[in-house]
Amino acid sequence: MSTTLERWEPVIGLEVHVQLGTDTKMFCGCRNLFGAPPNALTCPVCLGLPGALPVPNRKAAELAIRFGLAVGGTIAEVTRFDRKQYFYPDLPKGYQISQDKGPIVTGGAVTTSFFGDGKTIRLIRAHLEEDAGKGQHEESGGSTLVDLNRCGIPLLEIVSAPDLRSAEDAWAYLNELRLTLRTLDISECDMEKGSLRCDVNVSIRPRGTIPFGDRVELKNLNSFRGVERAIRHEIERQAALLEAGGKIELETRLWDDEKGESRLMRKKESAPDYRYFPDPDLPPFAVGRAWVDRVAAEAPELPLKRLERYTSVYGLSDYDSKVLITDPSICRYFEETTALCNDPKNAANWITSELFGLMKGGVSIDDVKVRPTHIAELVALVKAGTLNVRSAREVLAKQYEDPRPAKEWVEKLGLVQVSDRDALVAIIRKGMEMNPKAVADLKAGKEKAAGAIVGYAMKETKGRGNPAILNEILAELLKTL
Amino acid sequence: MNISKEDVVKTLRLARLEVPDAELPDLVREFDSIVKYVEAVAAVDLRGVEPLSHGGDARDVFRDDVVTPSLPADVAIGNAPDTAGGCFRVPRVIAEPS
Amino acid sequence: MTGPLSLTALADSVRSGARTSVDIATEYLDRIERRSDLGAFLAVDRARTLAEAVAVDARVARGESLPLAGVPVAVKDNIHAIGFPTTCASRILEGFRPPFDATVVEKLRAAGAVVLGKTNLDEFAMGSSTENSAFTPCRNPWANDRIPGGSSGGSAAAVAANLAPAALGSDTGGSIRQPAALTGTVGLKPTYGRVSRYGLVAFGSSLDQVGPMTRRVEDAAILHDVLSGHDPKDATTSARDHEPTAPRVRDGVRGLRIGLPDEYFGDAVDPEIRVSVENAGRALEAAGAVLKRVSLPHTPHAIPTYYIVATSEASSNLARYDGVHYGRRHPEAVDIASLFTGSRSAYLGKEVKRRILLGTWCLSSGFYDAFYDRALRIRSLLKADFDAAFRDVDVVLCPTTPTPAWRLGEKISDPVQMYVADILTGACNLAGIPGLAVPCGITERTGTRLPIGAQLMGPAWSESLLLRAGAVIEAACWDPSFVPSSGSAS
Repeated sequence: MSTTLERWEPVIGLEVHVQLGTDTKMFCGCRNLFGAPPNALTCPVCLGLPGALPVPNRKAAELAIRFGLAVGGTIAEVTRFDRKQYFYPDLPKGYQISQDKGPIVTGGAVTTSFFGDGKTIRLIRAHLEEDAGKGQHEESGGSTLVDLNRCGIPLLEIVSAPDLRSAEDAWAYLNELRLTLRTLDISECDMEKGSLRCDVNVSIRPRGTIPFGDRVELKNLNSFRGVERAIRHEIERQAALLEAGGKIELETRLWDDEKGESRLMRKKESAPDYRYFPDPDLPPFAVGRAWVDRVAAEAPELPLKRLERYTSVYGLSDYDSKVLITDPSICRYFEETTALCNDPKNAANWITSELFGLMKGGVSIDDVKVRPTHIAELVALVKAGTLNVRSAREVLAKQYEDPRPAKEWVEKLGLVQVSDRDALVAIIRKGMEMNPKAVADLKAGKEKAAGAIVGYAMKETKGRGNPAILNEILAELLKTL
Repeated sequence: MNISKEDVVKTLRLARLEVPDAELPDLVREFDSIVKYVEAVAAVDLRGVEPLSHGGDARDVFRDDVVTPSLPADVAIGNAPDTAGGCFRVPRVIAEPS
Repeated sequence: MTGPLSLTALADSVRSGARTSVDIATEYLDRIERRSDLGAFLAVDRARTLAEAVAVDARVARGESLPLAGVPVAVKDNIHAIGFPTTCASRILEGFRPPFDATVVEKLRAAGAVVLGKTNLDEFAMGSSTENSAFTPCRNPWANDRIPGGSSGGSAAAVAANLAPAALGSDTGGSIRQPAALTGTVGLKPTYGRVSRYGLVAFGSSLDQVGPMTRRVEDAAILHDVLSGHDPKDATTSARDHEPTAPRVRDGVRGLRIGLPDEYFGDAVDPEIRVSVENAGRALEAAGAVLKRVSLPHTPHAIPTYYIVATSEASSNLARYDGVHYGRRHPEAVDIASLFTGSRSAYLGKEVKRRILLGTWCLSSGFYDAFYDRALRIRSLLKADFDAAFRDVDVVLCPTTPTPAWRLGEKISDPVQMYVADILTGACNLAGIPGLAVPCGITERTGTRLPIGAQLMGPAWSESLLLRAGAVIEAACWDPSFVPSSGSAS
């Protein structure tokens, strides 16, 4: 603990915006897609053309409800959309449709079971809104170019209570939140693509005191590690200011991750007056019990539920389970493999030790050519005795580059396990002849000595001897001595 | 309520409007009379009365998450006063939204 | 000269092959040209309209059944029609060409109607005289030196002068009914949610409705039936089915209970107008209706409430005119702040800015509760007034305007005086109920004959009743074939 943290206790709250994984935008049928040519995914509604009207996306509301249920929040019985008004070139209507009073979700909590020490962070609210467009500085010339493809993509804004007490807490909370959102197919949460964005509120108070200090809002945070760095820096900045007799003012600061410092964006007195009011274009809506029940029934399993199933039903270790669960795409891969081979333990093993060993340099499992069908086939071949583990490993390595079916590789590499009993008996006999000491040791009960003889046999069969059969033959021959 | 020049200037700024200084006194006077006129609403007893923000009987309206065609990109920016590279062009933006 | 044909007669003549859609459109386009002095139209495109007419003739020839075959309709210039610009009579939208049709225009075109042009209005529909048009004021066909009312003044003048057999208007606080009354035409403000607002440029979104403006009550019913119905593109349209009103428009009023609200016959109303509307009441009585006095006690608060709600919504709806994505941009904008403020200040008109200012004030921090929120609560009371009255009567009858058409320039300098012109029409929009203006008499002012309009209001979805009662008043009090000449060539 730094000396600052001995004297001061940080109080941190996070506002996280995630883009919802719908097919279309919040209020129109334009595609919700990243990376299209500028303004190619726009229509009168998301361009804010005069006369156009918004119609809300049911799926977006359902994903918000799904989130609310996952975090144990309260789903509003009746809710509505409000207009938040400010002028900005990426906001074509001059207002953002959001929810001010009566958000769709209030309360709930996130527990850092996978990434932290199991701390519970309460949520204040989560509400639906629409994303703004994107401005980019022109490469040459003094202009900004505005692309409205992002404009109108559904967002869920998730506001935590000021329950976080350290940068590490914040990191764990963000990871835990992302895990929930990704596992439940609510959002991709890809910070690089901007589908997760985060603002942080930080204040500090002398340790052992209760009242909160005045808080500072940090914006422009581009990675979870960046959030941690920004918080650490802000704690130090505030402590230094207070210890020098200064005062913390309510303000918003922009974080510069490269320089590792923040700069003032605006003071509280210039805080905008958003003039929220109920959007008259959008009738209020009720979220009835039946709707909530249906959303609950359709929702994927929560991470903690999954952990319980993996350890108790699949019999996986806590560690292996967490490795699989914390990355939803790996988890999906594992589930698919298991469904195909019906052998979760071996599937998990092949994925986490063998396949991971081949994946280097941040490769995503979604981009790997080896698919769950391949892994499932290898598991089955080993189980059936057609391949031994060593050969299977070799096949996997080949498939990693060229994902043809295992059987083709087995043939091509001549890896079919030799299970011809007569041939193997001859080889074992030879091995026994060449290793009299091992035979003697075996007879004296030193089972480990079998390795030398079986090893010899494996070498003779170029690794294709079925080890189970080899051991069996050796045992039989020993009895006859 | 008496409307001051500052009230008018502040509200104009919120709405991204301005008037020449010469016209300001007249606008303040006019706006003062308008605000006094609509201020009559303060006299009504509203205990137990709920606000009515929406017209009509429509409630719980949603659309299915189904893609509909977007406009061609050139049509999307077709009414814009200035464009470049398929985008709306504006003078360089430095400040954050407010 | 034979009087102007009804919509049914026009469509019949095209369907029977007696005339073509092109003939009819040409006749009206010629008259529009001759009466350009009225300032009724902001955009006319002869080639475009005739091309539409040719297409209708082809559809008729193919045997398509079109209820409005070849009927030319003028469209208020705050409603999008592909092929025509939409300016809302504002400099800030000069040159804007909508890439989509308003749902109402789509429905008109599907029914075989032809868009005749775009009509003048008060800028963004904000006004009661059409003097707030940024391009040209509009004149009343009954008296060249008088206003036609507003904001749908261009549509009203066009129909009154027979430059169009029918027009679309929009009504936020009386903008269809008041100009209809001042020009001797029929104007219907439908129940909120009956007609789609998609493609109508928003002023007060919780109040705006599109409605027909016609010479005859029956024509209004026919057009209303075409325009009505749920629209998946407008979340505020009602899901309930529309029952056609035109087939029942001659059903009469026998047994109908008609209320005369005391508050709508007060001293602010011109005595001759009071008498004329009372006459209309007697006509209804003679046709078998029962008249009854009723009270709508919160009426005096309707206009302040209306102005708070309408301008608050408008301040938000008009934030999009910022010179970035469409419309005009100030040429000297050097940074984003001067682009926003410069464009809005230069190209929005005085009244529009005044209303944005009021609306911004009412929603701003510290004033929301005292202004906007209170207004929404009074809105509940106004609606409750109507609900209570409609337990005793089926519809109410009252004047549409406190005075007949006034002279151009007479009220333009006093905004509050102008706002009071909506005193009898605003509550209807706040309550979301339908209102119909029907001409019921004539008054003379300094030797000029000016029309008077009665107003009928009923519970939500009672358009059919209003139109039936309107038809009775029309039959007893008005000659719909009379075309005023206002001393100009016709």
